[in-house]
Amino acid sequence: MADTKVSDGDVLVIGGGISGLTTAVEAAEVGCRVILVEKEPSLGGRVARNNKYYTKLCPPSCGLEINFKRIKKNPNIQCLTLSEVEAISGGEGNYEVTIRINPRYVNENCTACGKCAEVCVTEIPNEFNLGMDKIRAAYLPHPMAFPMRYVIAPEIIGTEEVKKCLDACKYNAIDLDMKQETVKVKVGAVVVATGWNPYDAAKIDNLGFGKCRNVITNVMMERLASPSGPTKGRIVRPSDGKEVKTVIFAQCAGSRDENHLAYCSGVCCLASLKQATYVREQYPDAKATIFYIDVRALGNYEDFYTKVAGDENISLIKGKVARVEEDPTTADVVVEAEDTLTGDKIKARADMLVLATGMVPSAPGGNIAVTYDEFGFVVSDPSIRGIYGVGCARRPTGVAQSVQDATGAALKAMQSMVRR
Amino acid sequence: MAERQIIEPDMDFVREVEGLGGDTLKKCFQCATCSVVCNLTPEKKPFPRKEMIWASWGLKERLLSDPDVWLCHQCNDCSTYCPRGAKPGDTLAAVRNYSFMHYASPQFLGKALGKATYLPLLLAFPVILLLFLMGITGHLNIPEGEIVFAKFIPHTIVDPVFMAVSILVVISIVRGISRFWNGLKVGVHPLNSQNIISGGDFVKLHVIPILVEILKHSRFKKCERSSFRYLAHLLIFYGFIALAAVTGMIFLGTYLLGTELPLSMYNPVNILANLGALSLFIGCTIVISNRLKEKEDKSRSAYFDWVFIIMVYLVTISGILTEVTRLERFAVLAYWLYFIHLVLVFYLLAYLPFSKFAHLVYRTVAMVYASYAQREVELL
Repeated sequence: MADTKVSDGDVLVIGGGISGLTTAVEAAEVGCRVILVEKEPSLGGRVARNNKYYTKLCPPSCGLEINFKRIKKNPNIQCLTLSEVEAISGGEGNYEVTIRINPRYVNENCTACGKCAEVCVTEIPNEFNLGMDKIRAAYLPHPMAFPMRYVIAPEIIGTEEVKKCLDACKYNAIDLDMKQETVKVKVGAVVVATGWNPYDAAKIDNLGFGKCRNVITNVMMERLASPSGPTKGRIVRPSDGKEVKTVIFAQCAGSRDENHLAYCSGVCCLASLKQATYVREQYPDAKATIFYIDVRALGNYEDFYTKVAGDENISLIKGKVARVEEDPTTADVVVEAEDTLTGDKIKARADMLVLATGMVPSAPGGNIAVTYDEFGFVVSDPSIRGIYGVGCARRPTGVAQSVQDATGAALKAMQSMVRR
Repeated sequence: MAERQIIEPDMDFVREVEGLGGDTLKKCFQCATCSVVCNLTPEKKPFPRKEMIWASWGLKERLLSDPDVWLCHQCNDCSTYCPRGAKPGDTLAAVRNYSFMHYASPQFLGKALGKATYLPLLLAFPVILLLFLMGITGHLNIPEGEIVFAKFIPHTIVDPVFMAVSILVVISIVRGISRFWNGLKVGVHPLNSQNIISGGDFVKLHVIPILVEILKHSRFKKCERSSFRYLAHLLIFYGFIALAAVTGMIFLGTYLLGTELPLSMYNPVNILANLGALSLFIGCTIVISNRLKEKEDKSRSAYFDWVFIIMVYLVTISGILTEVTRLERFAVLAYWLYFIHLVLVFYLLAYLPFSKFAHLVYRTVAMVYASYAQREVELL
């Protein structure tokens, strides 16, 4: 097969989540040539994994789809999926970038008909659903994937099984000769939009994750509630598939905690308020309880807080959950906290506990001259020009702020081009 | 909020508690993790979250009349899980340290025990007293012949000095404890009419069970994370009990039976004394080595805490060395080590009401009070 052709650009955007997408589109639409590098097989990042945005409660397809369309029709954007930036050298206006492109084994002929998946039997953990279910080794990352193209997992390469996939494909879309490639391109500015990963809840040893079957994290809750998730949007318990009629949210699970993440992750309060509405909408008699230190719903978000807190089936208790146990007979979760407004300890039982885990910045890695703060967020250093952080790579923040930040990052990148 | 509360912060109190080991207390943001991870806290009005805000606001009267401060055995689970490094464990220890000084009389001795600058003076007092008494009775020379400590410092000096000191200590303790008890009664967990019972029932229901609990160290044992502290304290506790029993037996033996010292190595009393010393030595070694290993961001011992455990360690070591040098017949060494040992014992005993040693009475009283006021803790 032919090597991937990547031509030089003006702006390199590392990361195809909402921040990177927006930066790429904003820069491209004023004429910059953009190279967008995404390590996963499709764009959309964390936002694509959400069920709904706060506070309008619309699905992430609204927002992502329009951006995908803008990318599709814009010849200024070269979009590289399954790719990672290995090294960047040079300076503002004149960077040389080394990009590693991993094989998808599926080319642009793919129509996403799914015939390859039909003959594939090997299953691999579904990364898009955070490993909560399995997916066949010939797969479409998710229903809204962009590019809308299947992936053959490396696990079945070289087996008899993959040959069946090859035979099943009517469009000559499967190319088993694809190899990992490394390309070098020149760009004038770099935007780091590598986003975040959820904090590993198993590290919080008193909150039961990994020990109690019905303790999940907020990002898992998004998948659970999402129509494209492992349960097709039914919010049920992992242990027995029982409907979740009582749910507890434990705020600051690892955030604002020197033993884990010393900073406030900024979005978890609103995410839990939002997720409480998922449960309330699905089961009209369901009850949700949110244990918090402080509810951080700033600015206009306070209206959302007031609305959700006004639901008589949603209670908010000031006091952090600090002990979690599983009732061995019912698999219910029993949490302990001190209600600091009454000064008494509470033991609360629920079908499921959602840990409001925070954001860990996801660094681009490799040999890239970026300054990070003590937690790994990209520092906005006015003395460094040419490489800019954006969105959650820069600080923990929500979707709306990331989009605004991305417009700013596109402008900074373009200023670097003008200075060239 | 129908009722208006006026908070009057005592900033001097806050600074004193910060100085006594609670320097991190202002970092607390009241998340209440501490009250939940604690294995010793009651379900109703648990500690130490409320104590943290009282300490931060300088609400001295509440803390001094709060039995919960003493229910804490400082396993430091709270400090381990504290998301802010506010160290509730150290803060409560600092409040206890403050309480010793507050309740003990005369108060200047309490203040002196809390500051390293007064340590030489506090040690110089028994040195001078003993040397003076030995001098006027002509005992400053190292005696000839078999090593018998009474030839160097006779019973006629040691016994009256320690008897007098003991009486003063008891008076001071009784005064301190009665103030403490009266404070508890009207404090944050006051007694109500249903608590009022007869003296006999009080002893039966609240004093004896608590004493049994202390002998078993069952509360200490609930501090799961730091089981070594339970063991260390148990060793020190029974070491002290053994040595106190030995002292009592020897005192009675000397005056009633005319027993001559030293006892034979195989005498049961001597064996008990040696076991007690060994138990103390091992216990102190565990405590000190663990404090040195403790991560600074989880717990840091204040001067007040260090000086006490080091004094107990030195008393133990000097006692053991006194015995060893006597058996090895190093007369000069043995006699002067005995002198040092007596000085250190004097320090522990005479300054007991003002030092961390006083926890043995304050904690016991607070635990009895907590039982009396129905602040029960579920014991396994």
